[in-house]
Amino acid sequence: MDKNLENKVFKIISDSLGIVQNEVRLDSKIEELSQDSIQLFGLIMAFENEFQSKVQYEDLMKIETVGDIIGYIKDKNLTPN
Amino acid sequence: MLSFTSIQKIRTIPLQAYLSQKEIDIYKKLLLTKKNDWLAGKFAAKKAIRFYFLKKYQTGFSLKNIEIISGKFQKPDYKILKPSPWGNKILKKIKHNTNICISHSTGAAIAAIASTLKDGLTGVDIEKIRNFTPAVLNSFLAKEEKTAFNRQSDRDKPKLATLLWCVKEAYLKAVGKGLLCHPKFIEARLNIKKNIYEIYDNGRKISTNIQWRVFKKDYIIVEVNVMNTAQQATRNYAN
Repeated sequence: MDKNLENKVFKIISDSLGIVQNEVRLDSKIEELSQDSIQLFGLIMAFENEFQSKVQYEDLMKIETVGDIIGYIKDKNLTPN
Repeated sequence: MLSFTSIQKIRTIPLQAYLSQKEIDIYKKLLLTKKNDWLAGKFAAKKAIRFYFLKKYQTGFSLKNIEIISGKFQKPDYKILKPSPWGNKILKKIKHNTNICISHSTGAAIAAIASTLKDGLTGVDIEKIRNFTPAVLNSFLAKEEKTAFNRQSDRDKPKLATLLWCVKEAYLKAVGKGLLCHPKFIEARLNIKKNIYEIYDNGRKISTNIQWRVFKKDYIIVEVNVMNTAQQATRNYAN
């Protein structure tokens, strides 16, 4: 399950930000992967869409890396479509 | 006070001419893809700060003696390194009365510095004019903004959408929220009589001064100064 979730998150990030999947690692910083705030906003929307859940914007403060996103999804018990 | 630059303009300038040693160390550790924007942002900010001090205090600094640092609430801050013409106390007081903001996009950057008491909190944004996906548009545009957007010709739609995004983001950066508040809660309304944009935050009109322009044909630049921030400071942003 964890590996599935990891792959799913990697794919959403690479599709949304237009980067190849093997550039995405657990310790990659989201800010460094995205080019600008519009891309970042698109990424948030892609996750909201995939997990059918509204992201609490206050929670974004706690998310720095790809690993943090996976941790957030697990904490909130979110499941992909 | 606004300053803008592009990486093409500063590529030939040695880093030592405008970065402190600490900044050079940070730069070396950056990802290759981030280096240009980072440099352009720092250069623009230092230029704005230097010009502000020159104009207001007739005092010049070398760009490398101005260090851009991370500030509170996601806003950048700066330090004047020694040698400085003022003692720490005076410098602290001057600095306390100013605030800065930086934005960059694909090798271009803008920065602003404002006197907090006189000009309020400053926020800037620069974005390349682009086509937004319908889903993103639908999510960040408020109802009236969508109506205004739909009235535009297909040719002008990307420009208006980018402008509306920039206004929202510059405002959110000014008040120290950044992307921690959903942009749909911020509405930019065009005051047709005055031909200026006005900002509504959760439906409440905010006292702002907004300036925007097209930069190098491909970019939109926006500067938002938020006045009377003490009264407007806290708000509840429910999703």
